[in-house]
Amino acid sequence: MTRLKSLPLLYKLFLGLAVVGVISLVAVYFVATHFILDDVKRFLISETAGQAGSLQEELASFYARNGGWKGVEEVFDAHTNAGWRGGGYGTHGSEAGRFQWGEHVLLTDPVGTVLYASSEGIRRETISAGTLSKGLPILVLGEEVGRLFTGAMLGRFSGLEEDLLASVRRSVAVAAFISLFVATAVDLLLLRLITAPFGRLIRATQVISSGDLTQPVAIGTQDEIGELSRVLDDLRMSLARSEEVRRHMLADIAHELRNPLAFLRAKVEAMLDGIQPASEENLGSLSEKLYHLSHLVDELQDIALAEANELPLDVDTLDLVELLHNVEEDVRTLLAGDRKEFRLEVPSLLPRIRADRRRLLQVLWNLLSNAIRHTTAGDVVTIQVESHPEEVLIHVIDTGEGMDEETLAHVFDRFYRGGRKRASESLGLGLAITKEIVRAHGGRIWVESRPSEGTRFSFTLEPVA
Amino acid sequence: VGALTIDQARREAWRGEECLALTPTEFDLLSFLARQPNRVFTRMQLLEEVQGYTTPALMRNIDNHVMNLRRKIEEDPAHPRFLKTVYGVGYKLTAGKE
Repeated sequence: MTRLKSLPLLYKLFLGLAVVGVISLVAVYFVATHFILDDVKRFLISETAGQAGSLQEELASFYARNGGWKGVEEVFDAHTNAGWRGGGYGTHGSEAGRFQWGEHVLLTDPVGTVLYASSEGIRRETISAGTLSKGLPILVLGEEVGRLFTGAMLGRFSGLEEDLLASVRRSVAVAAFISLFVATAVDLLLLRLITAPFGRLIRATQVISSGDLTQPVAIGTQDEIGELSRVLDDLRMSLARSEEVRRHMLADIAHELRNPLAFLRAKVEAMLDGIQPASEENLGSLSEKLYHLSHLVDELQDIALAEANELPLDVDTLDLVELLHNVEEDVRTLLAGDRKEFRLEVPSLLPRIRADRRRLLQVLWNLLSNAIRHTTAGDVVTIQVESHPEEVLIHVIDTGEGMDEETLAHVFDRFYRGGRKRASESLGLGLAITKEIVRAHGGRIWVESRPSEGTRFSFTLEPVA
Repeated sequence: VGALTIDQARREAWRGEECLALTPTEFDLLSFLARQPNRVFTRMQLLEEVQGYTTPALMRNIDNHVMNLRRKIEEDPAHPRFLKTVYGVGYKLTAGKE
């Protein structure tokens, strides 16, 4: 069994098909020969019956003349020699005990007692009741006085007939063998066609697992294997994509960390060397860079925790109105110089919500700073709150430059920074973290945008029941 | 702090006898600075305190807050006595002596 299991698929399938083929051909051979031979035998019997017809009449008149079967041999003996008038089979007179058309005959009385047999080969005492009905009845004045059998009726066929039956058997066997041979050849061809793509699929998979993600998987068939190869190719491409993202991520992280670190090092070394004084001003700028660094590291930790569903939340019951009014003032100050307008649209009745205050502010500021970054003078940034029984809906809407489809699709992706350049002092984690924070609160977040019309980020929060 | 008086409980700030009309953020900023006079705070520290959350992208917002606050507490906002800029670092609150 284990040896069978280790066989290649091609051989397994072939073995299976071959076994099925042989079994069905053997079955066909037996069934076909049975029915064909049956028909042929029936035909032969009716043929011999036709030829024995005149003998039947002669026997009937012999019985009528003599009132019994005594001396019936002479009727048969008359035919054993040349002069038989019927039959198209030619003469077989040389064969002892056969009639001109090469047929044995046998005569019984109505109950099956054998009265005459033309050869020793078919001689017997009685004929069974089942076989009896196959014989030709000999009728005298409407009464059955005996039955005449030809060899065929008794299952004894003449040489010619045996030849015919043998040739029927032979043809069926030859046909079976030829079809087995053809079927095997066709099977092999088909199986090769079927199994060959598997080989290619395996090689393509090996190429992928060896780390080469550049070779497309193309099998070219339209069946399930083709489907499998397309799925595999999708898998390869998504692997290639995440591999690329990972590479960029590492490069970005290194890049973002390197600049402030280089600055800090240079500054600290300058102070150690006495080139610069360790003044408040110098230390202050170090502190600012350090702050920036820890912010980057915080973001990395946030995203790592959030994606492992382990973002710690310090959930509290919050007054959203108060929180938004606090934010409002900060946004207004922020926008003051830019001639951008800020609107806060909060319904008068707003349930309290449960959330982590710092995280919620992080979400709001991420969305707001996004909105502010993508607007110019004259644009409007709006925070709009809708209160529903099941959820509180917060929109951050801007009338800024909007996003194209491509950006829209990736805006929540980690390390995606749209058109922004590398040196933007950001890892492109803001919105990814925002999304994870909202998710951790059990809310949803989504974005709608039209290029040059504006963008609307929306997220939901759970009201306190 | 010098001529400035801060009443945490009533969230009011006075310069001499004059009550100053500060916004909540401005009050938070002033009282945070006043807790440790003469200490220099970076923009990020201040912003984190008054906004509750900040990112480097929002850093310059503190300048706007400081400008607004100066307009209210200083006699001459162009030459601040109390709320001083430490170049390259941030801000500090002093008692107002030259």
